[in-house]
Amino acid sequence: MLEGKFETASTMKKVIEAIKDSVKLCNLNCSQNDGITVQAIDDSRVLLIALKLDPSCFQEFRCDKDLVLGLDLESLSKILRQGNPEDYLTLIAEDSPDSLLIVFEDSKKDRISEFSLKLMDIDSDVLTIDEMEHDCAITLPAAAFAKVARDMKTLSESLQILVTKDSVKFKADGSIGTGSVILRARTNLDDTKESILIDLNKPVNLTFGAKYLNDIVKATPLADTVTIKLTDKAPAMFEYKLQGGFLRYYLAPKFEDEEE
Amino acid sequence: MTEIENENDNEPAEIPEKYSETSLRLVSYNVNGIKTLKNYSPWNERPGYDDAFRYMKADVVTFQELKLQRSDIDASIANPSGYLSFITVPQSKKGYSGVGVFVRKPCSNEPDIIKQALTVRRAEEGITGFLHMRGARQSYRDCLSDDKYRERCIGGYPSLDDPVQGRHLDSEGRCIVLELGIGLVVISVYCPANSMCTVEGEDFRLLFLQCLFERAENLLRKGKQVVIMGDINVSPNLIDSDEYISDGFEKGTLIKPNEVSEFEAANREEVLKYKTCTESKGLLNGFTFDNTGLEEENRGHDKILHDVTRELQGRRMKMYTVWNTLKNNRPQNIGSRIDLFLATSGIASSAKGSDIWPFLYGSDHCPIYCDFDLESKAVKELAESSKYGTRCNCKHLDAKNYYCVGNSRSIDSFFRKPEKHAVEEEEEGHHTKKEKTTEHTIYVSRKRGSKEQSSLFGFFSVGKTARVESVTEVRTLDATSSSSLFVTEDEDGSDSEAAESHKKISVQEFRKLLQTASCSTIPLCRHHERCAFRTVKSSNSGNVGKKFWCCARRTKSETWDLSKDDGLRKADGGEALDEYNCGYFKWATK
Repeated sequence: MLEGKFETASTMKKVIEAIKDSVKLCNLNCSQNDGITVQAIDDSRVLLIALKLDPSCFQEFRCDKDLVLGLDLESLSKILRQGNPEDYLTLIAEDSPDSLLIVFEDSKKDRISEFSLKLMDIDSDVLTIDEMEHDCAITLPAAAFAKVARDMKTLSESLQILVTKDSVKFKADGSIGTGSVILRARTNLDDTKESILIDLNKPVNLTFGAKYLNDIVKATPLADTVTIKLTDKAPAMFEYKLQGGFLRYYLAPKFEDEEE
Repeated sequence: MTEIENENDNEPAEIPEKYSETSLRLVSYNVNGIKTLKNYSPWNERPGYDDAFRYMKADVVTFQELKLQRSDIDASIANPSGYLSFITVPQSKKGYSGVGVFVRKPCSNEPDIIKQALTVRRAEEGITGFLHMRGARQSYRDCLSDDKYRERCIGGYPSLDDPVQGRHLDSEGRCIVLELGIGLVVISVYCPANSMCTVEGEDFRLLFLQCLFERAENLLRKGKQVVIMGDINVSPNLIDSDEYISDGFEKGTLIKPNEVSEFEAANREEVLKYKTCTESKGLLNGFTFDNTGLEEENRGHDKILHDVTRELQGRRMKMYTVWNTLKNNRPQNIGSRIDLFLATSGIASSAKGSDIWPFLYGSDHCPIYCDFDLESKAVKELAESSKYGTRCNCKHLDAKNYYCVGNSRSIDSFFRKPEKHAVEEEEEGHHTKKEKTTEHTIYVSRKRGSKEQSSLFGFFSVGKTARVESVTEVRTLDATSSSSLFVTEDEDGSDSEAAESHKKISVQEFRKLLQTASCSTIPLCRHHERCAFRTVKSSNSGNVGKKFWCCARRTKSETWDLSKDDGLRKADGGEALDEYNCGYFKWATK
């Protein structure tokens, strides 16, 4: 039996909105110790999404037996849109479930709405992802990153990210022209969320598909800041911290044209 | 009858084997939006585009009407494994038109002639040569006189001399020209339809066709052989247009002969009239050899192209490649044939098989294919003369470079697959899948160089197994009988697997639910198809305005049939279910 009650529905709503355009189907892995985890890769196999909702994310959480819930995210998102963000949201599943029960409670209006969503078998390999060493880590306001990603996409399909000791430069080189945005490291003591922190071991110069960055910034409503960890010739990690958990994206970089 | 049987079957007709090991299979398919294609069988069972190409056993395949924007083009289509990809999309209109050509990368153990044929020597976007070559910052025409880029140009540009008009003509992502290593130029096109029937639209369409055929003519003069394949949007002959035939029967301008085979001879005048009844048909037939056998003098001097599928299939009636989906015309096969292979004489003479594949769904068109025997004398000579310098100069248009996607490595190649975990926990069913993935990994590493990949593996340490063990532990604890740890595991394993397969549904089943969920109240007719919702219009029945459900198919009287078993069918009893309207009727209740 799985029973996970969120104090508000907004987290789950935002999480699903953030990932449903990148992956259509995914498995929710539920266990008593880890809470709910998701690992999914987009169709073009360039972007990996890792979600973790610890038991502490929930007001109440119990999971007697480990469960894998295969879901169609588009359908789940349609159901989640039926509830208000401030409703209580409870996810319930039997021990060998054929559907997931989704319950919204509006305590003020004494309104309870209940939905069940059919589950399916989804083949997927769970990849092992460990803490990686990184050449640099940048923490910046999520909205600032979203703006850069969206703005630069209008110029080019690729976005180059160059990091030095005290600044991050985003560069787009497209057919209509070029553009660049520089964000300097700054500490805002009044509002730490507005700070831009750069932790640099080694300068980095990497290029990513702008389309994927635009998929990633759909998670912006989930957190005030985003942390980006970059390493040469390795996937970049974009992390949105949740209250007891995280939503991480791993994005494969583009490589320079190789002679075959 | 056969068609109904076909529909119930999953994959009714087979994709034929290639004519021989040394034959080249060309496939053309107007997919009418490549994203929607994936909702249909058999494409939904084949997640990668490369799987779809292999399923059709295609060497060179072109898709028209991709309806993709630049931003939609990702590695899955621009760098499908085992195929080279060339894609053109409109410069301004988004989600419209678009042509993709995919060329198989031959294996090392294949015959040399196949390897030569599948070497893409040159590639161009657009038919006029006025588009700019990527990286050269000048048009293909200008590149022809530039030593640096000359090798990349196919040449033979049409006489159109206005660059503005040329660029406009090629601005809608309608054409990719490839020169293969055997001296064969394959022009993949999506010709304009002018479906809005505007004057400008018709001018655009005619100019496009004019340039297309001129280009083929010029290339032929340069010693190449040419195949034009794709959605030409013109039906060449009377027997290629169902609508025209039905109209003719109705108006009495066409007569029904006693024998089907005499249809064209009996209607000789109409057949010939049809060939030039519109400017576009006149233009097409002006360049195409007559295949009706009715044209008196086959004015061979300005004709250069053979309609290959028609020539190989003879005077087969109702061989259509597109059907009006709004009128639900496909079940009764009321359509027309506008997807063609037009080949110059040398290569056309080596065509060994060509047909339509009407059993493949997913678009309003069906795919067509053609096998060319590369061992034939004409092709051998051509290949011999082109052997010198079979170098690949097509990288600038290779979609993975052109759309800057190919060098994104797939994300899972960076992370470890859960192999230990699989052995420990997963059951047999997953083994086949695992093998497949391993194969894939091998492919990736071969291409990207194993050095780079293995070094990255060092970033990730073991971490998964611990969790897996805890899973097993939990399960063991669940079991009440303490003596049977082994049994429990076994039971648990098979139990969870069996329970899941019983209760949970497959992804395909879920998709089916999604498709039917919104229309669960729509009654099914006797074909087990969804009914059409109609309103009574005739005022003499007293039911005007009332709504009803009925079979969505056309009635038999709306189409024509040359076979003479009309009487027989009735004798069978009107009850027999055929491909026409089954007579289902039900008043809609509120």
